[in-house]
Order: sequence, then structure tokens, then C-alpha cells
Amino acid sequence: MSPNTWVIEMPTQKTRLHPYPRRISPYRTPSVNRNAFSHEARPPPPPPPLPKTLEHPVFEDIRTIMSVLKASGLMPIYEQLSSYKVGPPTKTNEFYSFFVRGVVHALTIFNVYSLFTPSSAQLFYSYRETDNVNQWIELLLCILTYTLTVFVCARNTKNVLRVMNEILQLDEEVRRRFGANLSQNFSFSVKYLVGITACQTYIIVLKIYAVEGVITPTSYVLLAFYAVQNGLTATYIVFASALLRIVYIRFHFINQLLNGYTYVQQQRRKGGNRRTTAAPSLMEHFPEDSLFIYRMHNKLLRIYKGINDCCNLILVSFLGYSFYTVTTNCYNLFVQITAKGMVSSNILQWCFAWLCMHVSLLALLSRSCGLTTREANATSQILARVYAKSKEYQNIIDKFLTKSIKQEVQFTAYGFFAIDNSTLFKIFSAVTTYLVILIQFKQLEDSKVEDHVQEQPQT
Amino acid sequence: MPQVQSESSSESAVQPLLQQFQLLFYISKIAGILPQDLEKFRTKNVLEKSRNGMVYMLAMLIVYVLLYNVLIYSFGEEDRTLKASQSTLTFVIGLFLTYIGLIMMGTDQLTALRNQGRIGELYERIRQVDERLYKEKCVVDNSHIGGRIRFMLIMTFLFELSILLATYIKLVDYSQWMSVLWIVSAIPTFINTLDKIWFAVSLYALKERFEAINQTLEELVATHEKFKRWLCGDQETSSRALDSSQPPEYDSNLEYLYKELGGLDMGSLKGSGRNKVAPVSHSMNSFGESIEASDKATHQAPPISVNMAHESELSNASKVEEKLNNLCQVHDEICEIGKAMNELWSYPILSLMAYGFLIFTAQLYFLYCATQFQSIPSLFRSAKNPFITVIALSYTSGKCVYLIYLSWKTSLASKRTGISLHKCGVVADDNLLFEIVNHLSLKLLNHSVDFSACGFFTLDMETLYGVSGGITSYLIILIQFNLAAQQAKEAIQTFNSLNDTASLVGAATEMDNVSSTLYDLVTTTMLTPTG
Amino acid sequence: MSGRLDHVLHFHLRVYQVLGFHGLPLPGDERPRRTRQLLRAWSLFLLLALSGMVTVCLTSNLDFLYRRDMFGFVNDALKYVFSEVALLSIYAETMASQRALARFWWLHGKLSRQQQQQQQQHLGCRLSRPVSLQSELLQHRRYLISLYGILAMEILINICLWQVQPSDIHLTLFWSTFEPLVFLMYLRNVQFVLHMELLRQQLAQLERELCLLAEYSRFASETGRSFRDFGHFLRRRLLQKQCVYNDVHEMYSCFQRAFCYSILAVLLSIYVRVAVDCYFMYYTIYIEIANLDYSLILPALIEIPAFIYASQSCMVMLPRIAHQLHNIVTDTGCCSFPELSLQIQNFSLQILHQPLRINCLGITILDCCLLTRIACSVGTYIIYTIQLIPKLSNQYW
Repeated sequence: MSPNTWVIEMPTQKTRLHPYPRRISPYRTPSVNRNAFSHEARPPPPPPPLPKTLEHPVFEDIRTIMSVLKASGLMPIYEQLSSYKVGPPTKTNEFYSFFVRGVVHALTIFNVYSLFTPSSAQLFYSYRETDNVNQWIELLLCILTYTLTVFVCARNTKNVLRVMNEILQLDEEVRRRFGANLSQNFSFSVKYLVGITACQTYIIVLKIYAVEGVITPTSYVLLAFYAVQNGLTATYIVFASALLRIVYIRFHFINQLLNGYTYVQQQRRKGGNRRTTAAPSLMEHFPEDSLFIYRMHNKLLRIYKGINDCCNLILVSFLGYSFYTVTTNCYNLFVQITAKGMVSSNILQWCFAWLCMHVSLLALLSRSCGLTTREANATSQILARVYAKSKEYQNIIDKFLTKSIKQEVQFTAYGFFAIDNSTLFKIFSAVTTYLVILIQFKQLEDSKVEDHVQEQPQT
Repeated sequence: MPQVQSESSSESAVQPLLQQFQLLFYISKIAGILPQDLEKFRTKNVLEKSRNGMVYMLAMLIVYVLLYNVLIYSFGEEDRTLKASQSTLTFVIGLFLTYIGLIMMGTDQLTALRNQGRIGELYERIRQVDERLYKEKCVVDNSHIGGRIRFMLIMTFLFELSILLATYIKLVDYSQWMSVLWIVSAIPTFINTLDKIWFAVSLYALKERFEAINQTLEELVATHEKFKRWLCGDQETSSRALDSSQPPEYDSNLEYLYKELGGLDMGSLKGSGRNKVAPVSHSMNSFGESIEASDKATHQAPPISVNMAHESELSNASKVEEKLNNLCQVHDEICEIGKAMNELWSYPILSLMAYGFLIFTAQLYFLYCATQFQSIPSLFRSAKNPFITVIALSYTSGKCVYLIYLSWKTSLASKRTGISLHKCGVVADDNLLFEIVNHLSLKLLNHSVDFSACGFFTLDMETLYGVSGGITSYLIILIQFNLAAQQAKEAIQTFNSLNDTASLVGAATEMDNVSSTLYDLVTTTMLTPTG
Repeated sequence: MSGRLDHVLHFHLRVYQVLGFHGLPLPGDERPRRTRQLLRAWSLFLLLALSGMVTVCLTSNLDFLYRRDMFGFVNDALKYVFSEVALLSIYAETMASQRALARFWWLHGKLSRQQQQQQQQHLGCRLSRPVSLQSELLQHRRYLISLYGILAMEILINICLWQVQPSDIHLTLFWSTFEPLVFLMYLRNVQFVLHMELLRQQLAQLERELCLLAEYSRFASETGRSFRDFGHFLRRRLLQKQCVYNDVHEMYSCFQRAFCYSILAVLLSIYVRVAVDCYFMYYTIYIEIANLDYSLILPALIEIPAFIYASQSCMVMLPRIAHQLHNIVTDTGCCSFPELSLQIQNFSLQILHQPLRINCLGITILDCCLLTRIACSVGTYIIYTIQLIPKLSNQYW
């Protein structure tokens, strides 16, 4: 997995072109006007697989990743009350989550303990003193991040359920109004899941091969738990990205809806309709639709903020952790390659595996944040393109535009900074700076060492 | 002279923008930057896909890459005696620094290949915008764009030639015939500059269109001013008493000077000296001169100057609504074109900025090394001479800064439209018009042209602040480590001179290796060019 | 520019004319065109003379620059080079961007005339010019304090230094050539402050008037008493204020155009001087040279904050104006004025479109955040360069 191989299933071609395959009025009598509105030359709408999709709420799409999180106690094992509502977990399930979290904390304490005792020394046999310290810090950071994740998740159980319910409600409304099913292909989450697992297993295997002598059970536990911690933190990040993607699709949907009213579309339609038939009034449904869109937009913003609230602490610690990991691994890679004659392929692979995992996760996260933020901010821009003749319509437009003047939507990491593509850029420039400094220091250090080596035999 | 393929007569009045690009197109076609069809361009002034062009371009790209590699190989030999052992990673990074020019060129060409269909669409959209502007009696003058392109081309040739020739004469050993290959070292930057001229001039054209819109609005205001004054007629004295009073010891001579200086200013701000309009606000307290000034202005602006009967569009709110609406739509369309253009060129711009940053730092650092009589990699030999360095640096930074400056200016121009719109509202003082203005100004607030390089950073002047800070810190770090390494080297040398010669060789090579990463990085590449 | 300026402004502009910073004739000058030509020529002459001096300093063999070690040398040379850049931009701007400056003063004259006239209307056309010197001083106190305060400090420190510091040919040469440049840059800096202060006064005036309007409307809505056409009256006044704001914004953009390059260059050179001198201070302490001339950076330390304080206080007026604007009550008890609210909306949109951000060439907004950033970067660079000291002292000593 390299940073470029991950392919996010963008809203697939079909949904992008026809985000609302068919408008169904609440009375189930498709009106001609509305059909005429939604798009020009439209292929016959695909047979709506209503019975199936009704039973297909959005979270089914990411059930794999959710089941992993549920099993590890990071997500509540909620009850599916109806297809548009989830309820709090039952007592036994809640107890299960509670139990798992307890086990995790116990293991953490055990690990911290064994890190400070010599029993884990065999894992840190490594080639240099400073590298051991590095690894040690990395381990501690990993433990910290994961513990934080568990704590925050435990605390936010209710919030997560609320956000999910809000998303489901929104979907229901959309379906009632437009008959559109906003489900999506989230295969990227599964791919990531597989990738993360593979990476972690690979890393463990490498580590086991690297350790000399017989490995004590403590070390096994330490290693295994380390891998699980890393994997689960990464999984949570993927989950957050998937949630953001879900929100993105909804923003995109309303933007598309609004796009139908812009002057560009109107002109195009005017050109098209001139020779066919008298065009039905373009703006006929604008008031109701726009009200619906404003409501949706507000709700989505609330959901977006809810998601942000749920995971921003985790994101901060994850970003810090992965910044550290990327830096140290790049540095190690450099040290390995420049070390004359004794390039160890084991450590090379290890570094590469770490780098791939973290870089791709960072890219995924910043990309989904950036996409969603851009889409959320695009609504007002699209609305600015709607030109209406009558005063009431103009007032409707003005209301929304006024509201959104100072409302910059952003996904922040606990208020420290906004996460989008520029974050990725900043992280990498910081990594470069540190690398330059570290490498220069290392070269100086080497020259000093060689000085001593040369002086000693002669004197 | 315009021979546009168009159905209606109104369209033929609009010159396509691409007509001004002919010279640039031919040069870039020969250099292999654009794959578009030559014949179509010559006859119809359109950019269309062409398979032959694509093949030609790819062939050129391959030739350039081969030549460049040969260059690196042949000039790397000079370094080969210098270095005995090299590590692998310095090699990788050195590869990067040496090949960044090539990477930049490749990005440009491949992006042009990818975009070959879409660039034509872009210019078609610009033409449509021109038509719509023409319908609103707002003519955009493309004629000086050709001159601008010529000027940029001349500057490019001057810079490239001066750097190339100066380096060749002063610093390259031209007794060998292989030294002719040095010419190849100028190819990547040249091609990159040509590509950027396309972008810069198109951006400039967009800026002109924004300014034309602003101009139209300002003219509306000016005519309305005149109209109001005409209405007041002989009551002028009383209205003046309302607005402002003449100070008793009024120095008309000085006033005139200030007004003349200030009045011309708005016109000069517009960049094009084509139509100068007296600024609006100061004609509120109307003296004889200001009427004269605005009269002159309207004479210069052909479309509106006809109405000497003193009519103002702004007095008729419902009529002007249509016009303002259309102008806003055109504004939005230009914004969209700007975004599309930015997207087409986003990777080339990113690579250009990376190139600028790296080369600027490296060149300055090697200049420092050269002043300390340390050896520097042969591909950066222009750093041995401070004057050539200055030229090269101003060339590179000029490219980057101009693009940044231009995109900043463009977004400023797009933001000025709102100001002009509000002037319309204020001067007309009509409730109906206020409603329209409020509505449109809200819309304008939501039109945005922000240029960015792949979303990583925005192209405005604040980026310059960050970049210059970055260059300074890296330079200090590098120089500092260089000093430290030199010191260590001297210590070793004095130490070695006391001892046997046996250890000398080893120590020297070791220390050489340490001398500085950056230096290592580059020279390594010379050593093992094939990888 | 109106027929007259108040005394303080007149005097200081005259001073700037003498220094070659203000290339426009003042009211009261006879034959303004000729004066303008003369002033331009004077600026050019000053520029050439000073540049010649800097070139001599940089190239001569005398002890203008610190000769005893490499880094003292580079430091001094850096100071000279950046002052030269600043000089170049200052005088080039004085000669080239007269239009913007003229427009600035023209608008200023127009606005202040309008104000005076209003006051006269209020006071019932009494005496036309009762402006005393004292009130002028009060009006321009910020500018005067920042001008004379730093000036006094600089002179004081200079005197003290020459009492304490053992004389030395290098120091004499260096400071006798460098000090004029410092003074010039400092006065230019204060010139920026003067212009920004004028802008701020206009904005403050606007805010006061809007505040009055808000009070009227509140009074009317609370008591229900108002005269006929009250809404119409308010709307007219608001429209007038919109025009005033438009003019003020144009003044601001003229200021930006007239001074952007020299703001950048002056701030940069002061910044470089501070950074270099801070480092040099540490260096002299480290190698134990009895050299106290680093105490001369104290005034320079205040210059940037003085500038930034002026620009910040100018920029904070804008939210206050918007606040006052929205304090105007649109529907009084007896009647409501939809037109008035329309007008308020229009004005607030206008403010949104015409923000007042003093930034040199768009590079960075000059507010207090910049101060912290400058402090941070000076600190970072000092840390970098301090690490160089031991290496250097080995190499060159």
C-alpha cells in the first residue's frame, strides 16, 4: 500500500450523474413536471429496488469495519430498531463492551509495567542507543493514543449513536422526498482494513525474526498487543474517514440538487427546450426544495460537527503519533541506507511498512476532511449562482447567503488546526525539516566517532 | 482582421483571445510543449486534439530526457575523481536535486498531454464570456496581450541566453566538443517557462475581464453622476452648499494639481491605459474641472460616450437590473474559468514552486561553498560566479513570484467588483436598486477565485512570506553544518600532517564524505548517473 | 487637499518635504507645479547622495565595517545593505507614487471640510475657525507621542553611549554614517504612523456619528416620539455615511498604494537590524569585547510596535463601526422603516466588500500577531546563529 494506490470509490458514476434517480412525490404519483426538472435527456430511471434498499440503511455499507470496532469495544453494539433508527445497546452487549475495554486497560497497564522492567529488553536489542529510545517513545505514544481512543470512545457512546440516528433520519427524509437511496460503495474501508492487518502482521513477523534468541511469552504478548493497538487505532481513523465520506455524499447530493436551479442549467435548458416543447416553469419547485435544502444543510452541519466532536481528541493524538512515526522511520531508513555495507533488509522492510501505513492513513484522513469541507462550503457558492426573477425567491436566497457569510465550515483537530490537504503539506514539510537537522547531526556525530576511533590506536 | 467562424454578426465583433497567442503557439509547438493541431490553429484559431502532435511531443520528451542524462553523465566525470565512495541514500536525494528540473519539465509536458482537449474548451469559454460582455457594451481589448507575450518571450530568451552563454564562456571548458552538450542544461527551464507563459497570459486575460466588468460598473456610476448634475442644472450652487463648502482662501491652483494627479490615478490602476475614468466620489462637490475630466473619460470609453443627452441607466432600476444580473453571471463564469484553469495547471505549478524553492536554496548554498573555495557539483557550476548566480536566481524567482503576484492581483480584481457595485447603489439612491444591489452583492461575496497548488497552499503573497522564511532557515542550517564539517576537516588535516601518510587517504575520504549532505547528494548523482 | 491644513500637519509635512519623503506641494505654496518638480529633484538628489555614501562605506578600506572578524563584518555589511534597500524604495516611492499620495490628501481635505461644515451647521455658523493649537495637539497626540518619544529616547541613548563608550575609529566612522540612515528610516516609519493616524481619526469620526444615529433611533423607539420623516432622515444620513466610508476606504487604498513597498522595506530593514544586533550583542558578550553600541537597538525595538500599534488601532475600528451600524433600531414604537433596514444591510455588505486590512503588498497583515511572529523568528535565528559562535571563533581567531 503506497500513498497513491488507495482508490476511494468516489460517488460512483451513476450516483454522480443522477443523484436522485427519480423523484417520488409523497403520494407515489410521479409528476411530469418534476421529472422534467431534474435533468435533461435522462435515461429511463433504473428500476428502483425499493424493497431491498429500504432494508439497506447506510451503515450496512461499512458494516465490516463497524463490526471490527464493535468487537473491540470501540463502538457500542447498538440495536437496530427500524431501518431508520438505532437504539442503545442491550445490557449484555453493553457489558461485553465494558468487559473488552477493561481487558484492554489491564493489558495496557501490564505492558507499561513490562516496558519499565528488563523483561522486554530483548525487544530493544537494537543497533544504537538512540534508536532504542526512539522505539520506546514510539511504543509509549502508541499506547497513549490507543488508550485515549478507548477512553474517548467509551465516553462518546451516546454521541456516536445520536450522530448515527441523525444520519439515518436524514436519509429517511431524502428517501421520502426524492426516492433517492444515498448508499455508497465503501469498499475502500475494507481495502484499508485488509491493508492494515497485512501491514501489522508483516511488521510483527519481521520483528519476531529480528529478535535473537528465544522469545519469552511476555514479549509475545507485548508484540501482539502492540500490533492490535496500532491496527485498531488505524481502523478507527478509517472509520472516521468513512463517516466523513458519508457526510460528503449527502452534501454532494444537496449541492447537485441545487445545481439544477443555477443559471447555467437554466440557460442550457432554455436552449434545449426551445425546439421541443414549452418549458415548464423552471423555478416552480424552488421554494420547497430550497427550504428542504437549507434544513438538510443545517442538519448536515450539525452532524459534521458531531463527528468532529466525537473524534477530535483521537485525531490530535493520532496525528502527533504518526508525525513522530513518520519522522523516525524516515530517519531510520536514511541511517540504514547510509550505513556502509550492513544494510539490513529486515529493518528496511519494517520502515517501509510503517511509512506506507501511516502515510496512506494521513492521506486518507486529510483527503476526506478536505473533500467534505469543500463540499460543505460549496453550497453557498452554488446558491449564489441561482438567479431568480421574483422578489420572494431572491429573499429566500439572500437568507441563506447571509447566514453563511461568516460561517466557514472546518474540521478541526481539537481546535488546534484545521485538517485538510494543507495539513498534509505542513506535516511533510515539518518532517523534512526535522530530517535535515537529524541527518546533519548524525553525520557530525559520525565524524566525531571516527575521530576517536582514529586517535585511539595511534596514541 | 479577425476571421472567426461564427454564425451571427455580433460574434464576429469579438476577437478570440487565442489569436494573440499565435507566436507563442508556434514556438511551443516546435519545442514540443503542446500537442494540439497546428493546421486547425492556423486556420480557425482553435486548439484541438491531434494524434500526430502527441507523438511528436512524446518523442521530444524522450529526446530531452536522453540528452539530459547524457549531459549529466558526461559532466559527472569531472566529479568522479573527486569522490571515492558514496552511500546510497545521498544518491537518492541527490538524484532528486539534479533531476528536479527534468521532473518539472516532464510534469509540464505530461499535463499538457493530459489536458489537450480541455485547454481548447477553456479558451472557447473565454470567448463566450467575451461575447456576453460585448452584449453588455463592455469591450475587452485583447490587442496588447500579443505584445505582452512577445515581451515575456524576449525576457525568457534574454535570461536563458545570458545564463547559458555566461556559464559556457566563463565556467565550461570548451576545448572539448562534448561541452556543447551544456546547451541541454537550459532546456528544462526554457520549456517550463514557455508553459508558464501560457498560464500567466491566460490569467492576465482573466484579470482584464474582471477589470472590464469593474470598468463598466464605474462608467455606469460616472454617467449617473453626470446625469444628476445635469438634472440639478443651475441649482448647482445650492447643491454644493449642501455637500461641501468651498473654503474661503481656496487655492485653486493647488487643488487642480491634486485633482489632476489623483484623477488620473484610477485609470493607471487599471493596468490598461485604454479607458480612464475620473473617480466618482470627488465629483460630488462639483467644480468645473471635474466635469471636464469625466467628460474626457466618457469620450475615451466608446460604448457609452454616445449619450450626450445625459441619460443614465441607473435611473431606471428595472432596466439596469438585467444588466447587473448579467454582469454578475459573467463574473461568476470568469471565476469558474479561473478555477478550471487553476486545476489544469495545478501540478505544473506545484512542481514549479518545489523547483523554485529547492534551486534557490541550493544555488545560494553553493554560492557560499564557492566563496569558501570548496568544490561544488558541476551541474551547479553557475554558482561559482556571483553575477551569473544573481541572474539565475532572479530568473527563477521572477517566474515564481510573477505567477503568485498575478494570481493575487486577479483575485483582488475579482473582489473589487463588489465595491463598484456598491458605488452604483449609493450613487443611484433608489430603494429598488438597493434591493438589487444587496442581492447581487451577497452573491458576489460567494464568488471566489483562490488559486492554489493542488490545495496544498494558496498562491497569494502570504505564501511568499512563508517561503522566504523557509529558505532563510534552511540556508542557515546548511551553512552552519558546512562550517562544522570544515572545522572537523581542518582538525583532521592538521592531525594527519603530524602523522604518517598512511592514514591520510582514509581520513580525507571520510571527511570529504561528511563535508555536507547537500553537496554529497548532488555529486553522487554525477558519479553514478545510470543508477 | 483643501485650502488649508492644521498647524501640526502643516509643520510635519514640511519636515517630510525637507527630508524628501513628501513629494507634493503644501497649500500656501506658490506655483505648486514648480514646487513639485523641485521636490522630486530634491528626493533624487538625496537618494543619490545617500547611496553614494553607502557604496563608499561598503567598498572603502577604512574602518567603516567591523574588520576584526568575519561575522562582525558580515553583520555590519548586512545592516548597510538593507538600509540601502529601504532608502531606495523610500525615495523611489516618493518620486513615483505621487498620485496615490495626492489623492489621499485630497480625500482627507474633502472629508475634513465636510466635518467642519457639519460642525458649523450644528453651532449655527459661528466663527469658522476656532481651532486652537492645543486641540490640534490633542487630536494628533498619538502621532506626536510616537514621534517625539522615540526621538528623545534615541538621542538620550546616543548621548549616554558616547559618555560611556571608549572612542574608537571604527565606531565613530560606522555610527556617523549609519546613524543618519537609521534616523531617516525611523522618520519614514513615523510618516506611516501619521497617515494611519489620519485614517483612524476619520474612522473614529464615522463611528461617533453612527453612534449618534443609533442613539437617536433608540431614543425614538423608546419614547415613541419622533418627527415626521424621521426614518427618511435616518436613511439620508446613513447614505451620507456610506459615501464617507467609501471615501475613507479609498483613502486607505491610496495609503496602501503610496507606501506599500517602503513599508515592506523599512520594516524588513528594522527587523534585520534588530535580529543582527541581538545576535551581535550576544557575540560581543561572548568574546568579551567592551562594546556597548548594541544598546542603540532599543529605539529600534520600539519602532515596529509603534507602527503595528497604529495599524492595529486603525483596523479595530471596523468591527466597531459595524457594531454601531447594527445598533440602529429600525422599527420604532410608532412605525417601522423597511427602507432603513435595507440601507443598513447595504452598508454592512459594503463594509464586508471593503475590509480595511493594512497589509504590505498582501504579504502579511500588520497586526499584533505579526509581532509575536517576529519575536519568534528572531528567537529562532538567534538560536541558530548562537550555535555558530564556537565554530567561528575557532576558525577565525
